[in-house]
Amino acid sequence: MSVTIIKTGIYCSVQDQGRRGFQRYGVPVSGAMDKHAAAVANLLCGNSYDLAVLEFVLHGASIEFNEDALIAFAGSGAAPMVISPTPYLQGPYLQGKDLGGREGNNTTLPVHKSIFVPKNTIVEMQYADKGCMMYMAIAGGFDVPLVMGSRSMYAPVGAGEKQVAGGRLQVAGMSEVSRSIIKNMVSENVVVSKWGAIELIEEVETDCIRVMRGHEWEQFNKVSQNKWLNDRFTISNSSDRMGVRLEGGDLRREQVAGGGLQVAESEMISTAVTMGTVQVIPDGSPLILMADAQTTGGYPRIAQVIDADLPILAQKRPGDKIRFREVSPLVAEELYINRQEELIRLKRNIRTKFSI
Amino acid sequence: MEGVRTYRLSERAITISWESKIDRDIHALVLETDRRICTRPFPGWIENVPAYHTLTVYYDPFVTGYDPSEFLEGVAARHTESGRFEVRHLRVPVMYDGPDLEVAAGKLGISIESLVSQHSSGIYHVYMLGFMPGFPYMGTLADELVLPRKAVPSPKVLAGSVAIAGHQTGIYPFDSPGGWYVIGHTSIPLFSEGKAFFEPGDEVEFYSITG
Repeated sequence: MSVTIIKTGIYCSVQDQGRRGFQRYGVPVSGAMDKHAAAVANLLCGNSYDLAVLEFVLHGASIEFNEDALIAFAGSGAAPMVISPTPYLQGPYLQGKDLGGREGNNTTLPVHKSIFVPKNTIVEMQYADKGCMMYMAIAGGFDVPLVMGSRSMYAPVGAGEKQVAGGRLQVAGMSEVSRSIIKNMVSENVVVSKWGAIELIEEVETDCIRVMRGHEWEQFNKVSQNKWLNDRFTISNSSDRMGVRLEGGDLRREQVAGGGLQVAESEMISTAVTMGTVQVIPDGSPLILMADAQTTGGYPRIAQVIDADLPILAQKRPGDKIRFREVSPLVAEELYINRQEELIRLKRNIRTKFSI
Repeated sequence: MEGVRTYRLSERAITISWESKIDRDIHALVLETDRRICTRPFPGWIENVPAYHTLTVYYDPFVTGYDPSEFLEGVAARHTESGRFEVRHLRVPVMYDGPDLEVAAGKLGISIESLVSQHSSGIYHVYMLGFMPGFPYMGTLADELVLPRKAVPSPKVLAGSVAIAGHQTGIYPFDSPGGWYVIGHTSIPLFSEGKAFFEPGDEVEFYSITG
Protein backbone atom coordinates (compact mmCIF):
# COMPACT_ATOMS: atom_id res chain seq x y z
CA MET A 1 0.00 0.00 0.00
CA SER A 2 1.34 3.41 -0.89
CA VAL A 3 0.35 6.94 -1.76
CA THR A 4 2.03 9.11 -4.37
CA ILE A 5 2.81 12.75 -3.75
CA ILE A 6 1.78 14.43 -6.99
CA LYS A 7 2.51 17.97 -5.82
CA THR A 8 4.17 19.02 -2.59
CA GLY A 9 2.40 22.37 -2.36
CA ILE A 10 4.01 24.95 -0.13
CA TYR A 11 5.59 22.26 2.05
CA CYS A 12 4.65 18.80 3.17
CA SER A 13 6.48 16.33 5.37
CA VAL A 14 5.98 13.12 7.29
CA GLN A 15 5.73 13.79 11.02
CA ASP A 16 4.84 11.90 14.16
CA GLN A 17 4.84 13.00 17.82
CA GLY A 18 8.59 13.65 17.71
CA ARG A 19 12.00 12.27 18.46
CA ARG A 20 12.62 11.97 22.18
CA GLY A 21 15.75 11.04 24.05
CA PHE A 22 18.30 12.68 21.74
CA GLN A 23 18.07 16.33 22.69
CA ARG A 24 21.19 15.86 24.82
CA TYR A 25 23.06 15.32 21.54
CA GLY A 26 21.54 18.43 20.02
CA VAL A 27 18.85 16.61 18.05
CA PRO A 28 15.59 18.59 17.90
CA VAL A 29 12.33 16.90 18.91
CA SER A 30 10.64 17.72 15.56
CA GLY A 31 7.29 16.03 15.00
CA ALA A 32 4.01 17.67 14.03
CA MET A 33 3.73 21.42 14.62
CA ASP A 34 0.17 20.78 15.85
CA LYS A 35 0.72 17.51 17.71
CA HIS A 36 -2.86 17.41 18.94
CA ALA A 37 -4.31 17.49 15.41
CA ALA A 38 -1.86 14.78 14.31
CA ALA A 39 -2.96 12.63 17.27
CA VAL A 40 -6.67 13.14 16.56
CA ALA A 41 -6.28 12.31 12.86
CA ASN A 42 -4.51 9.09 13.83
CA LEU A 43 -7.13 8.00 16.36
CA LEU A 44 -9.92 8.62 13.85
CA CYS A 45 -8.57 6.06 11.44
CA GLY A 46 -7.91 3.49 14.10
CA ASN A 47 -4.21 4.17 14.59
CA SER A 48 -2.42 4.74 17.84
CA TYR A 49 -2.05 8.50 18.34
CA ASP A 50 1.66 8.64 17.56
CA LEU A 51 1.92 7.11 14.08
CA ALA A 52 3.42 9.05 11.20
CA VAL A 53 1.06 11.38 9.34
CA LEU A 54 1.46 13.86 6.50
CA GLU A 55 1.71 17.50 7.53
CA PHE A 56 0.67 20.02 4.87
CA VAL A 57 1.70 23.64 5.30
CA LEU A 58 -1.15 25.63 3.76
CA HIS A 59 -2.43 24.58 0.32
CA GLY A 60 -1.12 23.27 -2.97
CA ALA A 61 -0.22 19.64 -2.31
CA SER A 62 -1.97 16.75 -3.99
CA ILE A 63 -1.75 13.05 -3.38
CA GLU A 64 -2.96 9.93 -5.09
CA PHE A 65 -3.98 6.78 -3.26
CA ASN A 66 -2.57 3.70 -4.97
CA GLU A 67 -4.90 1.36 -3.04
CA ASP A 68 -8.13 1.69 -1.10
CA ALA A 69 -7.44 3.48 2.16
CA LEU A 70 -9.00 4.71 5.37
CA ILE A 71 -7.89 8.24 6.19
CA ALA A 72 -8.74 11.16 8.47
CA PHE A 73 -7.92 14.85 8.41
CA ALA A 74 -7.39 17.20 11.32
CA GLY A 75 -6.06 20.71 11.51
CA SER A 76 -6.72 23.68 9.25
CA GLY A 77 -5.10 25.82 6.61
CA ALA A 78 -6.24 23.86 3.57
CA ALA A 79 -9.44 22.37 2.15
CA PRO A 80 -8.81 18.74 1.14
CA MET A 81 -10.76 18.10 -2.02
CA VAL A 82 -11.35 15.02 -4.19
CA ILE A 83 -10.38 16.11 -7.70
CA SER A 84 -10.04 12.79 -9.50
CA PRO A 85 -12.76 11.51 -11.75
CA THR A 86 -14.73 9.39 -9.34
CA PRO A 87 -13.31 5.93 -8.93
CA TYR A 88 -15.80 5.08 -6.22
CA LEU A 89 -17.79 2.61 -8.23
CA GLN A 90 -14.77 0.37 -8.69
CA GLY A 91 -13.89 -0.09 -5.04
CA PRO A 92 -14.50 -3.43 -3.35
CA TYR A 93 -16.55 -1.62 -0.71
CA LEU A 94 -19.38 0.80 -0.86
CA GLN A 95 -20.37 0.28 -4.45
CA GLY A 96 -22.50 3.04 -5.77
CA LYS A 97 -21.24 5.54 -3.24
CA ASP A 98 -19.11 8.42 -4.20
CA LEU A 99 -17.87 11.70 -2.90
CA GLY A 100 -18.10 13.49 -6.18
CA GLY A 101 -14.91 14.32 -7.93
CA ARG A 102 -16.62 14.66 -11.27
CA GLU A 103 -15.90 17.73 -13.24
CA GLY A 104 -17.55 20.70 -11.63
CA ASN A 105 -18.56 18.56 -8.72
CA ASN A 106 -15.44 18.43 -6.57
CA THR A 107 -16.12 17.60 -2.98
CA THR A 108 -14.40 18.96 0.06
CA LEU A 109 -13.52 16.29 2.57
CA PRO A 110 -14.34 17.07 6.19
CA VAL A 111 -11.91 17.19 9.10
CA HIS A 112 -12.41 15.02 12.21
CA LYS A 113 -14.17 12.17 10.38
CA SER A 114 -13.09 8.75 9.11
CA ILE A 115 -13.04 8.73 5.33
CA PHE A 116 -12.86 5.78 2.96
CA VAL A 117 -10.99 6.57 -0.25
CA PRO A 118 -10.80 4.03 -3.07
CA LYS A 119 -7.81 3.29 -5.21
CA ASN A 120 -6.74 6.05 -7.64
CA THR A 121 -8.49 8.82 -5.75
CA ILE A 122 -6.63 12.11 -5.99
CA VAL A 123 -7.01 14.58 -3.15
CA GLU A 124 -5.75 18.13 -3.44
CA MET A 125 -5.16 20.56 -0.59
CA GLN A 126 -7.00 23.60 -1.82
CA TYR A 127 -6.89 27.13 -0.48
CA ALA A 128 -8.55 27.84 2.84
CA ASP A 129 -8.83 31.31 4.31
CA LYS A 130 -7.50 30.47 7.75
CA GLY A 131 -5.21 28.11 9.62
CA CYS A 132 -1.83 26.80 8.60
CA MET A 133 -1.24 23.09 9.23
CA MET A 134 -3.41 20.26 7.88
CA TYR A 135 -2.77 16.65 8.87
CA MET A 136 -3.73 13.50 7.05
CA ALA A 137 -3.48 10.20 8.86
CA ILE A 138 -3.88 6.90 7.05
CA ALA A 139 -4.82 3.57 8.62
CA GLY A 140 -1.54 1.80 9.38
CA GLY A 141 0.51 5.00 9.29
CA PHE A 142 3.21 6.10 6.85
CA ASP A 143 5.98 3.58 6.92
CA VAL A 144 9.09 5.71 6.37
CA PRO A 145 12.24 4.47 8.14
CA LEU A 146 12.38 4.94 11.89
CA VAL A 147 15.37 7.12 12.77
CA MET A 148 16.21 7.44 16.45
CA GLY A 149 12.75 6.28 17.42
CA SER A 150 10.84 8.64 15.16
CA ARG A 151 9.64 8.96 11.58
CA SER A 152 9.58 12.74 11.69
CA MET A 153 11.42 14.38 8.84
CA TYR A 154 14.64 16.05 9.96
CA ALA A 155 17.24 16.19 7.20
CA PRO A 156 20.45 16.66 9.25
CA VAL A 157 20.09 13.25 10.90
CA GLY A 158 18.96 11.59 7.71
CA ALA A 159 15.41 11.17 8.96
CA GLY A 160 12.72 11.10 6.35
CA GLU A 161 13.12 12.14 2.80
CA LYS A 162 12.11 15.54 1.64
CA GLN A 163 8.77 15.00 -0.04
CA VAL A 164 9.12 15.60 -3.72
CA ALA A 165 6.66 15.53 -6.57
CA GLY A 166 6.32 11.94 -7.77
CA GLY A 167 7.61 10.50 -4.50
CA ARG A 168 5.88 7.48 -3.02
CA LEU A 169 5.14 6.86 0.63
CA GLN A 170 4.63 3.32 1.88
CA VAL A 171 1.84 2.62 4.34
CA ALA A 172 2.08 -0.05 7.05
CA GLY A 173 -0.59 -2.67 7.68
CA MET A 174 -3.74 -1.47 9.40
CA SER A 175 -4.93 -2.35 12.90
CA GLU A 176 -8.01 -4.34 13.93
CA VAL A 177 -9.63 -1.05 14.94
CA SER A 178 -9.15 0.32 11.43
CA ARG A 179 -10.69 -2.83 9.94
CA SER A 180 -13.66 -2.49 12.24
CA ILE A 181 -14.12 1.14 11.27
CA ILE A 182 -14.20 0.14 7.59
CA LYS A 183 -16.69 -2.69 8.30
CA ASN A 184 -18.87 -0.26 10.18
CA MET A 185 -18.80 2.23 7.31
CA VAL A 186 -19.69 -0.53 4.86
CA SER A 187 -22.62 -1.60 7.00
CA GLU A 188 -23.82 2.00 7.25
CA ASN A 189 -23.23 2.42 3.52
CA VAL A 190 -21.20 5.62 3.90
CA VAL A 191 -17.77 6.77 2.73
CA VAL A 192 -17.54 9.46 5.37
CA SER A 193 -18.26 8.34 8.91
CA LYS A 194 -21.37 9.74 10.55
CA TRP A 195 -19.47 9.91 13.81
CA GLY A 196 -16.32 11.92 14.38
CA ALA A 197 -14.42 13.97 16.89
CA ILE A 198 -16.55 17.02 16.45
CA GLU A 199 -16.56 17.80 20.16
CA LEU A 200 -12.82 18.37 19.88
CA ILE A 201 -13.12 21.32 17.56
CA GLU A 202 -12.22 24.05 19.98
CA GLU A 203 -11.92 27.73 19.75
CA VAL A 204 -8.84 27.57 17.62
CA GLU A 205 -9.99 30.85 16.16
CA THR A 206 -8.98 32.69 19.28
CA ASP A 207 -6.15 35.15 18.88
CA CYS A 208 -5.17 34.74 22.51
CA ILE A 209 -2.23 32.47 23.36
CA ARG A 210 -1.67 31.61 27.00
CA VAL A 211 1.85 31.77 28.38
CA MET A 212 3.76 31.19 31.59
CA ARG A 213 6.49 33.59 32.63
CA GLY A 214 9.87 32.81 31.16
CA HIS A 215 12.90 32.43 33.37
CA GLU A 216 14.27 35.86 32.38
CA TRP A 217 10.89 37.63 32.65
CA GLU A 218 12.04 39.75 35.59
CA GLN A 219 14.96 41.10 33.57
CA PHE A 220 12.66 42.85 31.12
CA ASN A 221 11.72 46.41 31.90
CA LYS A 222 8.16 47.29 32.88
CA VAL A 223 7.40 48.88 29.53
CA SER A 224 8.44 45.69 27.75
CA GLN A 225 6.52 43.45 30.16
CA ASN A 226 3.40 45.53 29.57
CA LYS A 227 3.90 45.49 25.82
CA TRP A 228 4.29 41.72 25.88
CA LEU A 229 0.99 41.21 27.67
CA ASN A 230 -1.02 43.97 25.96
CA ASP A 231 0.21 44.43 22.41
CA ARG A 232 -0.91 42.40 19.46
CA PHE A 233 1.90 40.82 17.50
CA THR A 234 1.86 39.87 13.82
CA ILE A 235 3.16 36.49 12.68
CA SER A 236 6.08 37.22 10.37
CA ASN A 237 6.36 35.46 7.03
CA SER A 238 9.86 34.32 7.92
CA SER A 239 8.31 31.84 10.36
CA ASP A 240 8.98 28.17 9.74
CA ARG A 241 9.08 24.81 11.49
CA MET A 242 11.97 26.05 13.64
CA GLY A 243 10.25 29.10 14.97
CA VAL A 244 7.37 31.54 14.78
CA ARG A 245 8.78 35.03 14.40
CA LEU A 246 6.72 37.95 15.58
CA GLU A 247 6.92 41.43 14.14
CA GLY A 248 7.49 44.39 16.37
CA GLY A 249 8.01 44.24 20.05
CA ASP A 250 11.12 46.21 20.87
CA LEU A 251 11.29 44.26 24.11
CA ARG A 252 14.25 45.31 26.23
CA ARG A 253 15.94 44.10 29.35
CA GLU A 254 17.32 46.42 31.94
CA GLN A 255 18.57 46.17 35.45
CA VAL A 256 19.11 48.60 38.26
CA ALA A 257 22.81 49.28 38.56
CA GLY A 258 24.45 52.11 40.46
CA GLY A 259 21.16 53.87 41.00
CA GLY A 260 20.39 54.14 37.30
CA LEU A 261 18.73 52.02 34.70
CA GLN A 262 21.04 50.19 32.42
CA VAL A 263 20.37 47.92 29.53
CA ALA A 264 21.56 44.44 30.27
CA GLU A 265 23.74 43.50 27.35
CA SER A 266 25.50 40.64 29.06
CA GLU A 267 25.25 37.39 27.18
CA MET A 268 23.44 34.57 28.92
CA ILE A 269 25.08 31.20 29.34
CA SER A 270 23.26 28.84 26.98
CA THR A 271 20.79 26.37 28.42
CA ALA A 272 18.00 24.08 27.22
CA VAL A 273 15.03 25.57 25.41
CA THR A 274 11.91 23.81 24.15
CA MET A 275 8.94 24.15 21.82
CA GLY A 276 6.98 27.20 22.95
CA THR A 277 9.94 29.00 24.49
CA VAL A 278 9.71 32.70 23.63
CA GLN A 279 13.20 34.07 23.13
CA VAL A 280 13.79 37.76 22.63
CA ILE A 281 16.46 38.18 19.97
CA PRO A 282 18.89 41.13 19.99
CA ASP A 283 16.67 43.39 17.85
CA GLY A 284 14.02 43.18 20.58
CA SER A 285 11.54 41.01 18.70
CA PRO A 286 10.12 37.75 20.04
CA LEU A 287 10.89 34.40 18.44
CA ILE A 288 8.80 31.44 19.56
CA LEU A 289 10.63 28.14 19.18
CA MET A 290 8.66 25.43 17.39
CA ALA A 291 9.02 21.75 16.45
CA ASP A 292 12.40 21.79 14.68
CA ALA A 293 14.02 24.34 17.00
CA GLN A 294 17.49 23.83 18.36
CA THR A 295 17.73 22.21 21.77
CA THR A 296 19.70 24.95 23.53
CA GLY A 297 19.66 28.71 23.35
CA GLY A 298 21.29 31.76 24.82
CA TYR A 299 18.67 34.48 24.35
CA PRO A 300 16.57 35.73 27.27
CA ARG A 301 13.24 33.97 27.60
CA ILE A 302 10.36 36.29 28.30
CA ALA A 303 7.68 33.58 28.27
CA GLN A 304 6.76 29.97 27.58
CA VAL A 305 3.66 29.18 25.53
CA ILE A 306 1.63 26.60 27.41
CA ASP A 307 1.50 23.17 25.84
CA ALA A 308 -2.29 23.23 25.43
CA ASP A 309 -2.07 26.39 23.28
CA LEU A 310 0.83 25.28 21.04
CA PRO A 311 -1.70 23.85 18.53
CA ILE A 312 -3.46 27.23 18.38
CA LEU A 313 -0.15 28.95 17.71
CA ALA A 314 0.89 26.34 15.14
CA GLN A 315 -2.30 27.08 13.20
CA LYS A 316 -1.54 30.80 12.84
CA ARG A 317 -0.33 31.85 9.42
CA PRO A 318 1.89 34.78 8.45
CA GLY A 319 -0.06 38.00 8.84
CA ASP A 320 -2.31 36.70 11.63
CA LYS A 321 -2.29 38.75 14.80
CA ILE A 322 -1.98 37.24 18.26
CA ARG A 323 -1.80 38.44 21.84
CA PHE A 324 -0.66 36.77 25.02
CA ARG A 325 -2.23 36.18 28.39
CA GLU A 326 -0.41 34.96 31.46
CA VAL A 327 -1.46 31.85 33.38
CA SER A 328 0.24 30.07 36.26
CA PRO A 329 2.33 26.93 35.72
CA LEU A 330 -0.30 25.05 37.71
CA VAL A 331 -3.07 26.05 35.32
CA ALA A 332 -0.81 25.20 32.37
CA GLU A 333 -0.21 21.74 33.76
CA GLU A 334 -3.91 21.17 34.42
CA LEU A 335 -4.75 22.15 30.85
CA TYR A 336 -2.06 19.79 29.56
CA ILE A 337 -3.50 16.93 31.62
CA ASN A 338 -7.03 17.72 30.40
CA ARG A 339 -5.77 17.57 26.85
CA GLN A 340 -4.23 14.14 27.44
CA GLU A 341 -7.45 12.90 29.02
CA GLU A 342 -9.40 14.18 26.03
CA LEU A 343 -7.28 12.06 23.69
CA ILE A 344 -7.65 9.01 25.91
CA ARG A 345 -11.43 9.51 25.93
CA LEU A 346 -11.51 9.76 22.16
CA LYS A 347 -9.44 6.59 21.85
CA ARG A 348 -11.70 4.77 24.32
CA ASN A 349 -14.86 5.94 22.57
CA ILE A 350 -13.60 4.67 19.23
CA ARG A 351 -12.63 1.31 20.73
CA THR A 352 -15.98 0.99 22.49
CA LYS A 353 -17.93 1.96 19.42
CA PHE A 354 -16.23 -0.75 17.38
CA SER A 355 -16.18 -3.19 20.30
CA ILE A 356 -12.48 -3.94 20.17
CA MET B 1 23.58 22.44 48.47
CA GLU B 2 23.56 26.19 48.39
CA GLY B 3 23.16 27.58 44.93
CA VAL B 4 21.06 24.73 43.50
CA ARG B 5 17.54 25.63 42.56
CA THR B 6 14.96 24.61 40.03
CA TYR B 7 12.67 26.49 37.70
CA ARG B 8 10.04 25.46 35.19
CA LEU B 9 11.10 25.66 31.59
CA SER B 10 7.58 24.50 30.66
CA GLU B 11 4.84 22.41 32.24
CA ARG B 12 6.75 19.40 30.92
CA ALA B 13 10.31 20.38 31.81
CA ILE B 14 12.16 21.46 34.93
CA THR B 15 15.59 23.04 34.84
CA ILE B 16 17.97 22.43 37.74
CA SER B 17 20.29 25.39 37.93
CA TRP B 18 23.65 25.75 39.67
CA GLU B 19 25.66 28.94 40.06
CA SER B 20 25.55 30.83 36.79
CA LYS B 21 29.06 30.52 35.49
CA ILE B 22 31.16 28.44 33.12
CA ASP B 23 33.12 26.26 35.45
CA ARG B 24 34.33 22.67 35.25
CA ASP B 25 33.47 21.86 38.86
CA ILE B 26 29.92 23.10 38.44
CA HIS B 27 29.66 21.19 35.17
CA ALA B 28 30.84 18.03 36.94
CA LEU B 29 27.87 18.39 39.31
CA VAL B 30 25.54 18.84 36.34
CA LEU B 31 26.84 15.61 34.80
CA GLU B 32 26.76 13.71 38.08
CA THR B 33 23.13 14.70 38.65
CA ASP B 34 22.36 13.84 35.02
CA ARG B 35 23.86 10.39 35.50
CA ARG B 36 21.93 9.77 38.72
CA ILE B 37 18.62 10.66 37.12
CA CYS B 38 19.31 8.63 33.95
CA THR B 39 20.25 5.59 36.07
CA ARG B 40 17.23 5.83 38.34
CA PRO B 41 14.55 7.71 36.45
CA PHE B 42 11.23 8.62 38.04
CA PRO B 43 7.85 7.65 36.50
CA GLY B 44 7.13 9.75 33.42
CA TRP B 45 10.75 10.80 32.93
CA ILE B 46 11.61 11.37 29.26
CA GLU B 47 15.10 12.79 28.85
CA ASN B 48 17.72 15.12 30.30
CA VAL B 49 19.60 17.92 28.59
CA PRO B 50 22.82 18.83 30.39
CA ALA B 51 24.22 22.30 29.64
CA TYR B 52 26.93 24.51 31.20
CA HIS B 53 25.42 25.10 34.61
CA THR B 54 21.97 23.63 34.17
CA LEU B 55 20.34 20.26 33.75
CA THR B 56 16.92 20.25 32.14
CA VAL B 57 14.68 17.30 32.89
CA TYR B 58 11.82 16.54 30.48
CA TYR B 59 8.94 14.46 31.78
CA ASP B 60 5.26 13.82 31.21
CA PRO B 61 3.25 15.31 34.10
CA PHE B 62 0.30 13.17 33.05
CA VAL B 63 2.30 10.06 33.91
CA THR B 64 4.36 11.45 36.78
CA GLY B 65 1.33 12.78 38.64
CA TYR B 66 3.27 15.00 41.00
CA ASP B 67 5.66 17.95 40.79
CA PRO B 68 9.15 16.41 40.69
CA SER B 69 10.94 19.74 41.45
CA GLU B 70 11.63 18.91 45.05
CA PHE B 71 12.78 15.41 44.22
CA LEU B 72 15.15 16.76 41.56
CA GLU B 73 16.52 19.42 43.87
CA GLY B 74 17.11 16.67 46.39
CA VAL B 75 19.03 14.53 43.89
CA ALA B 76 21.16 17.55 42.97
CA ALA B 77 21.76 18.50 46.59
CA ARG B 78 22.80 14.97 47.62
CA HIS B 79 25.58 14.83 45.08
CA THR B 80 27.88 17.70 45.76
CA GLU B 81 31.02 15.77 44.97
CA SER B 82 32.32 15.98 41.46
CA GLY B 83 31.53 12.94 39.35
CA ARG B 84 33.97 10.06 39.43
CA PHE B 85 33.05 8.53 36.13
CA GLU B 86 35.73 8.16 33.54
CA VAL B 87 36.52 11.07 31.31
CA ARG B 88 37.23 10.31 27.67
CA HIS B 89 40.25 12.00 26.15
CA LEU B 90 39.83 12.61 22.46
CA ARG B 91 42.40 13.92 20.00
CA VAL B 92 41.03 15.69 16.96
CA PRO B 93 43.08 16.34 13.80
CA VAL B 94 42.60 19.84 12.43
CA MET B 95 43.82 21.38 9.25
CA TYR B 96 44.19 25.04 10.18
CA ASP B 97 43.08 26.50 6.88
CA GLY B 98 39.79 28.20 7.84
CA PRO B 99 38.43 31.08 5.78
CA ASP B 100 38.52 33.36 8.85
CA LEU B 101 42.00 32.38 10.08
CA GLU B 102 43.71 35.50 8.82
CA VAL B 103 40.95 37.87 9.89
CA ALA B 104 40.78 36.31 13.34
CA ALA B 105 44.56 36.52 13.83
CA GLY B 106 44.45 40.13 12.64
CA LYS B 107 41.67 41.06 15.06
CA LEU B 108 43.51 39.33 17.88
CA GLY B 109 46.75 41.07 16.93
CA ILE B 110 48.72 37.82 16.82
CA SER B 111 50.30 35.79 14.06
CA ILE B 112 48.51 32.91 12.39
CA GLU B 113 51.20 30.58 13.76
CA SER B 114 50.55 31.81 17.28
CA LEU B 115 46.78 31.39 16.89
CA VAL B 116 47.26 27.83 15.63
CA SER B 117 49.75 26.88 18.30
CA GLN B 118 47.62 28.31 21.10
CA HIS B 119 44.43 26.70 19.83
CA SER B 120 46.11 23.32 19.43
CA SER B 121 47.93 23.42 22.75
CA GLY B 122 44.83 23.78 24.94
CA ILE B 123 42.87 20.94 26.50
CA TYR B 124 39.18 21.63 26.09
CA HIS B 125 36.16 20.36 27.91
CA VAL B 126 32.88 19.57 26.17
CA TYR B 127 30.23 21.41 28.16
CA MET B 128 27.23 20.88 25.98
CA LEU B 129 25.92 19.63 22.65
CA GLY B 130 23.45 21.99 21.06
CA PHE B 131 22.69 24.34 18.18
CA MET B 132 22.58 21.34 15.80
CA PRO B 133 23.01 17.56 16.23
CA GLY B 134 26.50 16.84 17.53
CA PHE B 135 27.76 20.46 17.79
CA PRO B 136 30.14 20.51 20.81
CA TYR B 137 30.42 23.68 22.87
CA MET B 138 33.97 23.45 24.20
CA GLY B 139 35.89 25.63 26.63
CA THR B 140 37.84 27.29 27.82
CA LEU B 141 39.71 29.14 25.13
CA ALA B 142 42.87 31.02 26.15
CA ASP B 143 42.19 34.72 26.82
CA GLU B 144 44.51 35.63 23.93
CA LEU B 145 42.09 33.96 21.49
CA VAL B 146 38.85 35.55 22.67
CA LEU B 147 36.86 37.32 19.95
CA PRO B 148 33.20 38.33 19.97
CA ARG B 149 30.95 36.60 17.47
CA LYS B 150 30.87 38.04 13.99
CA ALA B 151 28.52 41.01 13.70
CA VAL B 152 27.07 39.46 10.55
CA PRO B 153 26.97 35.64 10.54
CA SER B 154 28.34 33.84 7.49
CA PRO B 155 25.51 32.44 5.40
CA LYS B 156 27.29 29.12 4.96
CA VAL B 157 29.81 27.51 7.26
CA LEU B 158 30.89 24.11 5.96
CA ALA B 159 30.49 20.84 7.86
CA GLY B 160 33.66 20.05 9.82
CA SER B 161 34.57 23.70 10.37
CA VAL B 162 36.51 24.29 13.59
CA ALA B 163 35.57 27.69 14.92
CA ILE B 164 36.04 30.04 17.87
CA ALA B 165 33.82 32.64 19.58
CA GLY B 166 34.15 34.15 23.02
CA HIS B 167 35.84 31.70 25.36
CA GLN B 168 34.50 28.80 23.30
CA THR B 169 35.56 26.62 20.45
CA GLY B 170 33.32 24.27 18.50
CA ILE B 171 32.95 22.23 15.33
CA TYR B 172 30.07 22.50 12.87
CA PRO B 173 28.70 18.99 12.13
CA PHE B 174 26.65 20.19 9.15
CA ASP B 175 26.69 23.05 6.66
CA SER B 176 24.83 25.94 8.24
CA PRO B 177 24.87 29.68 8.75
CA GLY B 178 27.17 30.56 11.63
CA GLY B 179 28.60 33.50 13.54
CA TRP B 180 31.84 31.95 14.82
CA TYR B 181 35.28 32.54 13.28
CA VAL B 182 36.26 29.46 11.26
CA ILE B 183 39.97 28.75 11.74
CA GLY B 184 40.25 25.21 10.40
CA HIS B 185 38.49 22.01 9.53
CA THR B 186 38.43 18.38 10.55
CA SER B 187 37.14 15.32 8.77
CA ILE B 188 35.89 13.38 11.78
CA PRO B 189 32.15 12.66 11.47
CA LEU B 190 30.46 14.63 14.26
CA PHE B 191 27.07 13.05 13.93
CA SER B 192 26.30 9.88 12.06
CA GLU B 193 23.97 6.92 12.44
CA GLY B 194 22.22 8.48 15.40
CA LYS B 195 25.42 9.00 17.36
CA ALA B 196 27.27 12.15 18.30
CA PHE B 197 31.07 11.94 18.26
CA PHE B 198 31.37 14.02 21.44
CA GLU B 199 29.57 13.78 24.73
CA PRO B 200 29.34 16.34 27.49
CA GLY B 201 32.30 15.80 29.83
CA ASP B 202 34.78 14.73 27.13
CA GLU B 203 38.27 16.22 27.12
CA VAL B 204 39.45 17.29 23.70
CA GLU B 205 42.82 18.17 22.22
CA PHE B 206 43.35 19.46 18.71
CA TYR B 207 46.44 18.65 16.73
CA SER B 208 47.51 20.39 13.57
CA ILE B 209 47.77 18.41 10.36
CA THR B 210 48.75 19.51 6.89
CA GLY B 211 48.00 18.36 3.37
